[in-house]
Amino acid sequence: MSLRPHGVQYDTGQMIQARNITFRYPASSFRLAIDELAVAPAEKLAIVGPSGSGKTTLLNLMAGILIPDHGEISIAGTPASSLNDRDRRNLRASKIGMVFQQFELLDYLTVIENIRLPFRINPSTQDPQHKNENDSANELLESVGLASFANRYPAQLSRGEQQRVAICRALITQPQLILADEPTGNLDPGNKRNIMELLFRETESRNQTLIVVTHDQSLLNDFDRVIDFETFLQTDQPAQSKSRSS
Amino acid sequence: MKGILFLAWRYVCFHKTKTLILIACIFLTAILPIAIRVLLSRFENSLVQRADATPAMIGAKGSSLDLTLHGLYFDRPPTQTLPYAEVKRIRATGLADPVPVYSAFQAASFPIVGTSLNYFDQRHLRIQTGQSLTTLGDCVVGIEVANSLQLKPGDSLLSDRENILDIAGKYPLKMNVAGILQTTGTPDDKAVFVDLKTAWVIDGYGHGHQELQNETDEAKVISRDNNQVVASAAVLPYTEITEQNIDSFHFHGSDDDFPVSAILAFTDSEKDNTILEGQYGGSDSDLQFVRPSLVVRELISVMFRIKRFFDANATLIGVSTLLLLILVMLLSAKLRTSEMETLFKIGCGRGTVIWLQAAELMIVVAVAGCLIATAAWAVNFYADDLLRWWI
Repeated sequence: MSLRPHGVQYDTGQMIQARNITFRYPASSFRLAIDELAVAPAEKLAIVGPSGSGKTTLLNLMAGILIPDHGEISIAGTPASSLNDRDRRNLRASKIGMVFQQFELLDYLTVIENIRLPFRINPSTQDPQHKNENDSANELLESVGLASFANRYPAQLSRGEQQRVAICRALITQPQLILADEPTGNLDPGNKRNIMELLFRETESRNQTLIVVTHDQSLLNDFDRVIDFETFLQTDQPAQSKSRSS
Repeated sequence: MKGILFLAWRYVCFHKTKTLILIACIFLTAILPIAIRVLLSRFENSLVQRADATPAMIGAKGSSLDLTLHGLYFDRPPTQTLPYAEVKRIRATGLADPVPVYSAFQAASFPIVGTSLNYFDQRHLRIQTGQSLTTLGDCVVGIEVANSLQLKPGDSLLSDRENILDIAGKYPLKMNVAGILQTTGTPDDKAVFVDLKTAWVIDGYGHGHQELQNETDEAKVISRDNNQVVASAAVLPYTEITEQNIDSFHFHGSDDDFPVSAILAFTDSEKDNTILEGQYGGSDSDLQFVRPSLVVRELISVMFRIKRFFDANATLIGVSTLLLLILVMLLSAKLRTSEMETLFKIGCGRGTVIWLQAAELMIVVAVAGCLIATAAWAVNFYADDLLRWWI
């Protein structure tokens, strides 16, 4: 699988780079248009905005799940739009870790099996450190304080614990980019803080880029940059993004 | 593929109830027609083999099916019997080896079959333990009778009383078990064989009692002249034939008139068989000639006409089960949309997601298939036992 395009020059210094992209769902009046968006490596970016403003759509474009109708979006220096389905899938499996609001753990797998799931469903995904997959998963579980929960099923865990397992699943392939869609949306305030601290700690320790879609204003202070999606789309981009110096 | 199979296996293991219900649906739908097919095929073979080994059968006029089933399987006797003289007549023609069968009584619910020693030769019956019939009152039992009643040579076996309320009825006879037959897998395993004369004794045509010529007890003798003593009811007949009393056993009348329920005629050629058949062709004859193989094949054709109805029924049930399975899979796919979407988002191909569900179905079908194969093998292996127990 070649993740690097031939004959197309991108700013390889950016983790995400989008130029002049538009996207419209079939049979929908909603249209997402972004002139330019760049996310630097290891940047911690929050995307906020009202429901229906297109935050999750942008996240899916960044993940290569959706393809823009026009324009180009590159992920880790690879133009996602020009890749075929398989290469986009492999790019997603190897370079991107995803965390969801509903955790989306498979109820019929144990905690450790859920964490190792990316290795099972995509043969191109391999442990970068060439360790035993169980070792990597156990290390992650230990780092999130769930070492003794390895053989439990998701239904036996609290919501906060389930989200921690979901984060481990996103981290197991050591991706360069973590995309989290409302990761604290289903958690109580105490767990929200813990999960965000965990995400920051783990991504910082691995020098990973973190992009989080959230509604929760109380979580924004720790991010390097916050994009208010409503104003971002209504005004010239990217000037309206609220930046926070790191 | 390994990962997909792992996930599919974990899914079916986790959802045990759903999986077991699906497996049971497939298993029950498939095993019934398979078992019926195996059993019918074996039953057909067994029927045809025994019928083909009996070229002809002669009995009183009536249902040819009843006569055939009685002669081959010792089923309930025909309402009419035929005289033993017919056996002698057939033997005199030299067209066949006539083997009489008289089966009107039971012992411990097993049929008592009065016959001649020729029967054992014609049916290739071999003694497993003990010896063959040698004396009046002896019996040779099939292996299932021996196992069921735990009999061994030297034991005795009492014939069943016809009607327990009929105190003036025929006395049961205590028979001596002379031998036990080898397993044959035929109705012979479930029969008690006695000499024809012993069967007539049970039926009251012959009996033994104490010597009355010198009897002084007037209560036992009604009248007496030079040649004949008329005994009263106070003289009890013997209910067991022993070395001491065997000489007192005698038959009243000519054995030509004694009954047999069927004659198995073992002819050497089709020509002899046809000639013999011609002797019973007249409308004034009280007897009938049947070819068991024809009667049995007619019975089988009726059986298979009924089986076609079951086959159609099984096909409909199979189609219903298939549709039900498709419905379950579609509903399951709908319920698992979110799960499949997650798998896609984290790097699983759309095709792989479909393969995952196909693999789950394949596991269920494979397990059901293994169970069906095992059950079919068991039915095939135990078919003879099942048929013996069932029929």
